[in-house]
This record gives sequence, structure tokens and C-alpha cells, in this order.
Amino acid sequence: MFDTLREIHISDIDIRDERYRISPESENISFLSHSIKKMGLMNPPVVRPMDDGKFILISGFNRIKALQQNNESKVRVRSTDTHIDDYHCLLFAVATLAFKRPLTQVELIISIKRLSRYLDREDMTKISSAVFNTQLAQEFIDDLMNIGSLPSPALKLIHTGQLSLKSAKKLVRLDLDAISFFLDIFSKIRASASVQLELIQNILETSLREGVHPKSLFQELNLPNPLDGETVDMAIRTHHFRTLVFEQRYPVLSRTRQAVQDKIASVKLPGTIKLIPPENFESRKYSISFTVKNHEEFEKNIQHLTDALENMTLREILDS
Amino acid sequence: MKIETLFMDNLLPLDDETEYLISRIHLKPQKIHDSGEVYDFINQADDPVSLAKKTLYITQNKGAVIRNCPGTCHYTCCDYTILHTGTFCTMDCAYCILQAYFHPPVLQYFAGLDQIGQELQAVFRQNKIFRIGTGEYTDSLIWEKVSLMPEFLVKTFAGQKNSVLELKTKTVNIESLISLDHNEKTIMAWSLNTPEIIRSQEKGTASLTARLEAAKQAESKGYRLAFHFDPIVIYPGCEDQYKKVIQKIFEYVRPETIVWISLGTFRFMPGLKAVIEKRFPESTLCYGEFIQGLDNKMRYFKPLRIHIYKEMIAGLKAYAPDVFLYFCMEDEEVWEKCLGFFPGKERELGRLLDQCAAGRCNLNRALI
Repeated sequence: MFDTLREIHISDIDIRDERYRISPESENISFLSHSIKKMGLMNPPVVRPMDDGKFILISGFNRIKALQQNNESKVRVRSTDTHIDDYHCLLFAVATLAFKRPLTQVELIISIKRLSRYLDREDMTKISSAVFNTQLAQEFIDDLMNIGSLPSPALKLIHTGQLSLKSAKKLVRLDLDAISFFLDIFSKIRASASVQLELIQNILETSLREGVHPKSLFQELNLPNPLDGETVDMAIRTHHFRTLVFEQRYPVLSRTRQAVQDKIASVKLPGTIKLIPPENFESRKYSISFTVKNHEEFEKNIQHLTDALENMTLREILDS
Repeated sequence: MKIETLFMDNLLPLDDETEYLISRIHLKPQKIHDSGEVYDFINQADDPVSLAKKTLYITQNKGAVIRNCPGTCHYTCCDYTILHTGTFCTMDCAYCILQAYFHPPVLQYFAGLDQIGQELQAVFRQNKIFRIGTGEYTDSLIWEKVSLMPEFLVKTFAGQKNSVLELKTKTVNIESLISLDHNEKTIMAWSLNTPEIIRSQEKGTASLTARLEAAKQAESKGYRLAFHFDPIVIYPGCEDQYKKVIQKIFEYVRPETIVWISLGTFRFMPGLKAVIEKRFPESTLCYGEFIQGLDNKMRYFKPLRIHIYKEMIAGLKAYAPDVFLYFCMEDEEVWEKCLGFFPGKERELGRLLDQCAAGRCNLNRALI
């Protein structure tokens, strides 16, 4: 089926036809171009001949692009026979990559989405080990199908790690406006998977509580969205945004925490001594800790604490 | 909610109690050998909780009939004694912990008046005061219209002097009990909430007015009363609405007949949230400012709890300065800041409640 090795003109390949492409386009293929220049093309791309004498690629999109960059005009390819159908070409494209290295999440999603035109999820589960090089459960396939239906730039964000699969799974259940709103947020921040989930949950819960759509939450609450401006770097922007969202979800808790932190700061304990309020203020137990390198430091800290006995703000904090 | 499927334990005899129950439910029971059949039937549904509310399983209590209230660590418990007469409920409150407490929830009626009677007689022989309730795992009066149990319990408690029975309900099912000689040993207790919460979160329950009408009727027949504000839900304007409920209580009943009033803000096991979100998508109950409590249950942030408690206590004290108020599962700080004292010693709250029961229900005071 794929055993014909032949040389063809690169210009005869319709590189715009990406029906078998399952990997996102690599932004930088200079290493690959350089490697091909130095060592030649190690694995020939696989093409499917079409009735008009042209070819479409089944695998080797980046290699062809690299060859074009190297100004090559011809390439040795493995060609399928003319009778092969779309389904088998797609299976081949997926399996070739999956048995070379584990598919990325985005490749898995694209593959499943494309194969779903030919297979139901039950059949996909059955062939998964032979095609994906791993056993996929039906429920997981459902999840990937749903995630695959998210609008752009969901897959791009998953590819760059800005949107986890778990977060994407949460978004699937929302309406299109809300999905777009969240995708816009995640395109502007970089948060861990757990923080992403926290943000989604806090925004949704605040919106439900306030009876407004998530996309109009900030306007309704008269809040400047820290993601709107061209502010600072991504990490700081993410932190500001997370704080703002938490403050809306837990306004009294946030204000209380801030007030206590302000009071603790006003006590002016030295940096070596930490006064930590109780978690969520549910218990009354504050903890005080300090670190010492020697006895002299120990004495100094004790003296600081003794001085603090006279501090009325500290008394207020501890006796409130 | 109407019972649509009736299962009955094959080993359970058909006696006056079960025949009475079956005849009033108007369904032919499916006799089963193994309770697993009921669990399987319920579990096959997309919404097992809803199906469970329409599926009654008449069986025998195979565990302890009388047991202590579970309570939780770090928060003060009232040392209530549970008379385990059934599980789950036909009403459909969004916040109900029973939805997540049983896996799956099964609406069980524990038949066996003889067994219950014997267990109670053993309690009555002890030199100790007991406050016994049936409303921990179910509503005390959901079966009143179809069961002999409530009447049996009121009559049984009437004949002794060391225990009170508290029937805790959101129904107005008191018809069979109203004319009984209860000898002041039964406390009719209603869970109360604001009309908004009753309408939006307590599906299938009686209205506030209906509950207070029933309380008034019970009072007129000499029954002692109790009220439970649990769960108190915090939402914009709730302070005024809870105060209006308090005002309304005393438009219907006299403070002198109230044995106690409890207060407890909404708290829940984390697992309940997903159940509420799935079964009550319109409910915003879980989106208050909840934090994880020391017992791992989700609780309102403490200053919010203290605020609503203070408001409500001020209202209650204005109408009924002598009625005993207590918190269900709160800690020292809340007690001190809201009620000015803390029953810190072990079983102290229980002792205070025993005193109330003894005073208002004419129990043997020597047992306190």
C-alpha cells in the first residue's frame, strides 16, 4: 500500500491540503532545514497521488516546508497506491506519528476529531492501541471530541500549555460567549492547571451568584479588567487577575485577610519573625515563628517579641 | 412527592403496622429478599436521588435503633439521641445533606413498633434524661398520614418522665397526633426559613405560614414547641427576612411554650456541592463565601456567621428573652461573641438542653 518509493517535484505537492495533518505547524523549522542540508532527508514523506497528477501529504509537512526553505525542487517520497481511501490515509498519518513518539494532547484531539468522521467512539476505542499506541477509554474519547469542538484558539492554547485539558473540559459545558470569554482570558495569562480551574470556578460562581453572564461580570461589577491593558509581564498580570477574581468571589474573606495583613505589617516585627493568621480565620490560632542561626539571634528575637507585648495593635489582632 | 414504587422486605411480617402503611400508600409491594435489589433499582436512574424519593422500601432496622447524634469534631454538639425510624425524605430540599450522605439514598421505613417500644422502655428505665428525636436521617412526620408510628411514639413517651420526644419537621402533618394525650413529653419542632428560601430551596415542604399555623394548633393542644433555623442561608437582605420570620413566630405562638430554638448556618460536606449543582442548577446556595471548616465541612466564613447570628439573636431576645437559644455545631468564638457564653465542658450543652426539657416538659428534675 505504501511501498512505492519515487522522486517527485515539490511543486506537485498541494501543501495547502492539510486533511491528514494532525500536528500543529511548527513555527521554527530552521533546525530541521539545517539537518536536511547536512545529513539529507532520513525519512521520506508519505504522499497520496490524486487524479489530477498532483499529490497531497499524509506525513512530512514540516520536512516539505524545510526542503522548500532549502530551495530544493525535488523530493523522494513514499507514495500510496491510487485506490487508497481517506480513512486509511488518516489512520496511517496518526499511526506513523504515534509509534514514533507519544502524541501530544492537541495531536490526539485533532486525530480523534478527524477519525470521528469514519468511526464511532466504540470502534475508536477498539482500534486505539493499534493506531494511537495507547488504549483510550470511551469517556476520554468523548472528552477529546468535545474539546476538539471548542472554537479557536482553544487548541492553540492547549498546545502552548495555557489551557489544560481539565480546564478545556470545563469550558465545553458553557455557551459560546462564555467559552470565547475564557479563551480570551487564557490567551492573556499563563497559569498552572489548578489555577486555571480556580479561575474558571470563581468566575462562574461569582457570575451565577450575581445573576450576570461571565462575559459581562467585570462591567456589571464596575471593575477594570487587568487583562484589558498592555500591562507588565504575563506572570504579574496573571497574579493581578487571579487576585481580582478571588476578591469578587470571596469579598469579605479578602477584605478581612487584607485588613489583618495590614495590621500585622503595622506591628513592624523584624523580618525574621513571622506572624501567620489562622487559615481562613476559622480557628483562633495564630502562629508565630522565627528562625535563628545562633543563640545571639535567638536572644534578639525574644527581645523583639518581648517589646511587641506592649504593642496595642498586636493585642488587637490576637484578641479580636 | 408521591410514592411510585413500593418494595418490602420479604422477611417482614404483615401486621397491623405494615398493613396500615401499605393500605394507605395504595401500591402493591414488591417483596424482595435482598436490599441490593432496591439499591440496584435506584442506581440505574440518571438521577438516583429523585427516583429514591419516589421509591419506598419497608424494612426492619437491622442496626442500632437508638444511637447518639454523630456531631463532628471541633464544634459543640447538642448530644441528641436519635431514634432511627427511617432514612431519607420525600420532600426535596436543595441543601439536604441526605442526598450525599447515603450512597445511594434509599427511602426506608423501619417497621417494628414492638422492637422500638422495647428499646424505648430500656431507655425510660435509665436514671438519666434523654432528648430523643427521629429527625436526623429523615423528616419526623413525612409518614404521619400513612403510618401508625408517630401516634405510637407520642403515646409511648406520654407514659414516662425521663425523656422527651422531639418530632422535627417541615410538614404540617399533625392531624393524627393533635388529640392525643401527650403528657407534655412530645416537642413538636419545625425547621424554619425565610419564605424566599422555602420557595426556592425547599421543594415540596409546607409554607412558613402553614408551619406556624400547625405550631399554633399544636400549642393549643398543650404540645411543647421548638424551632430550628437550620440551615440559615446568607444572601442579600437575609437579615431583615429572618427577622420577619422571627416576628411571625410570635404572632402565632407564645414564648412560654417554646422549649428551645436552635440556629445553624448552612454547612455541607464538599461532595454535596456537585449534587446540588446537578439537581438544582438554578440554586446559588453553594456560591456564598464558604471556607473549609475544621471538620472539613464547608461553612460560611466565620464573621458572616457571627453577623447573621447576632442579628437573629437580637430579634429572638426581643420577643422571647427567656427561651433557650443554642447553636448547632458552632465553636467557642461564635458562642461567646453571639450568646455571651460557651458551654465548654463536655456534654454541657446537652445538660443545658436537658434542663430546658425538664422545666418545660415536666420531666423528673432529680435526673439532671
